[in-house]
Amino acid sequence: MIDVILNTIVSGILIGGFYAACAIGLSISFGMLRIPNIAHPGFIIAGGFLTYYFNKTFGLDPLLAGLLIIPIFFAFGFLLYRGYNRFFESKRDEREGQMSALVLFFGVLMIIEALLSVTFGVDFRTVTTPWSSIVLHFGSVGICLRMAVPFLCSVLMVCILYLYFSKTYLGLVIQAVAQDSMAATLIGSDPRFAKSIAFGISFSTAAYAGTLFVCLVPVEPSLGMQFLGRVFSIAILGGLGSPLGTAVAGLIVGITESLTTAYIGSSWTLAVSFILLLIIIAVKPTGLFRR
Amino acid sequence: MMKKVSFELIIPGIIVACIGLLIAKLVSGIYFFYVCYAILQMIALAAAWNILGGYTGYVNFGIGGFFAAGAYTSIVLLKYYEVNFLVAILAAGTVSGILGLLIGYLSIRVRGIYFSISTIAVSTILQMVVLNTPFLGGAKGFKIIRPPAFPPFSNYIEFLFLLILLISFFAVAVSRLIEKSWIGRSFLAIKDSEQAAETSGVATLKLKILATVVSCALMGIAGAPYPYFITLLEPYSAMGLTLGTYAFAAVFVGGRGCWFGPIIGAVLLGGLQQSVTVMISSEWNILVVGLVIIAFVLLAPNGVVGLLKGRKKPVLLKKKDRV
Repeated sequence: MIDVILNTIVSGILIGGFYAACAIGLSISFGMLRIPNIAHPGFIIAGGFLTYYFNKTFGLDPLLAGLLIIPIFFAFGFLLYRGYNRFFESKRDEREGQMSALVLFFGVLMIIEALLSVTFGVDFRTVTTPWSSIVLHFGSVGICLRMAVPFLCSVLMVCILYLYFSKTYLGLVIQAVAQDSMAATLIGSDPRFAKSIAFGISFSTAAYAGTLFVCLVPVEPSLGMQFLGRVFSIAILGGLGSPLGTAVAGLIVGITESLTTAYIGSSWTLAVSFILLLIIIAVKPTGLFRR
Repeated sequence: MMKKVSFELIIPGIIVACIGLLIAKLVSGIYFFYVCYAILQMIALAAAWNILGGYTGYVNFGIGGFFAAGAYTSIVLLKYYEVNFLVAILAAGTVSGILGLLIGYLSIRVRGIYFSISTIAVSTILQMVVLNTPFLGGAKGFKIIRPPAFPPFSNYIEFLFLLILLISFFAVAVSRLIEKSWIGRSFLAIKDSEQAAETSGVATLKLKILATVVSCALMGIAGAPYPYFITLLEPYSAMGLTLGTYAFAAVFVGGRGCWFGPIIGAVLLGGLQQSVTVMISSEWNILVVGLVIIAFVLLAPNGVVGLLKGRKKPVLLKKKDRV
């Protein structure tokens, strides 16, 4: 009995860490830059497919392939923000802009899904590595490396981002711009550049989260839409814009989902994050860890 | 008020019904009715969405959920209790309207993207409930056999066509009534600034709830004949994001906050969607719709209606204020 609970919680923690990796980019783009990038899960899936592609054609280790696609995604995000700022953000007032931006990114999400289905087909794709079938046993708790490796990578990612935003100069500038971009201009920073960098970082995390995704479970183009709610609830739960908050929120959702799967039924799992989201929105819309 | 309603709803309604009957009599191809049904349903959903999204500015992504709530209510009533079709439609509207009330209460606390995401949440939770309830067909869904055609129709689809024609007319007429009345003006005030509206005596809370309830109820009504149209009602296709996406895309293409915007948008988008699906493939169809949405949001924020009315110059911030 206790073994089952223990195993469930451990797998919840492992999956929760991965969820944090998925949501952290959104936490940056939506929480810091006020860009409602609902296409974020779409880019995660795209990252997963690219990793799959590199793995299949060049035989690269997926974790390494993920590092290779990060620069591509970073550049793409950087340029995308430039375009977004030039053609959209600077032309709308904030309230009207947010609503249109939602619809805009919804269009982007649809395009990603369609492009992925056209190029890769709608089958489930996954990668296999030498370590993916190894299971380690600690007493009665079994840990599958297929889940543990993505978890460790996610933890690393969260730590790097935390250190980046709290210790480096550019990270602090991004935070300053997020708080008050006018004031940030006064101390001599370029908000547009800082935001482009932050958006690039957000995309890089999406890329690597996609890599971890494809290591963890098979991916398929329409998963982006399904992941939307989960990613958003974690980002909001974690108090947008805080890497550590997102990590904790990811763990909460992961563990809750895992317990739900074990004790209520796997068909309810997808509802968990949404119910948590509705509760958090009704009770404390600023999330658990808003600074 | 009653006189106005009768002029705006009943008399044009009878005219529309007559035209619909005439079309049903004159056109014989079945495919024509399928295409028309899809487009009319899109008009109904778009007009319904427009009441909340276009007038008050609250973006509802959960269209599929409210639509399917109506569809499931009607099929449950028709299949298990064998009620009259009209009763089923009214019940579908009521159930979705109650769900809309829930969303309305959510809108007290949250706005913008938080509101939009919670509508997705409500819609997904509904999907989970349907998936896990054998009474509602579960994942297998309902298989529906269409009843035989009855005069004056030579095929059941003609009856469905007439039904959805009237429903979409009703949805558009309701949104027009709202737009032309003080309610519509209050909605616009809410859209521009909720605080300013509240300060000038607009009962924002009541009106927001009114908007969500009417909007969602109309979606439910639009869903009521859907089981008979699709003949296999299952949670994945009925409650997915796709159906709803087309609806609000239609509003964006046509023009927001304007009662005939959804009609233009749905006809254009529906026509495009049908032709791409038939000529190329359904994956390209999603791609094309996505591109159309992006193009309209970027280039023609007020849709076709905005283009026709002449471009209002967007208020540009001064260069130094742009961030």
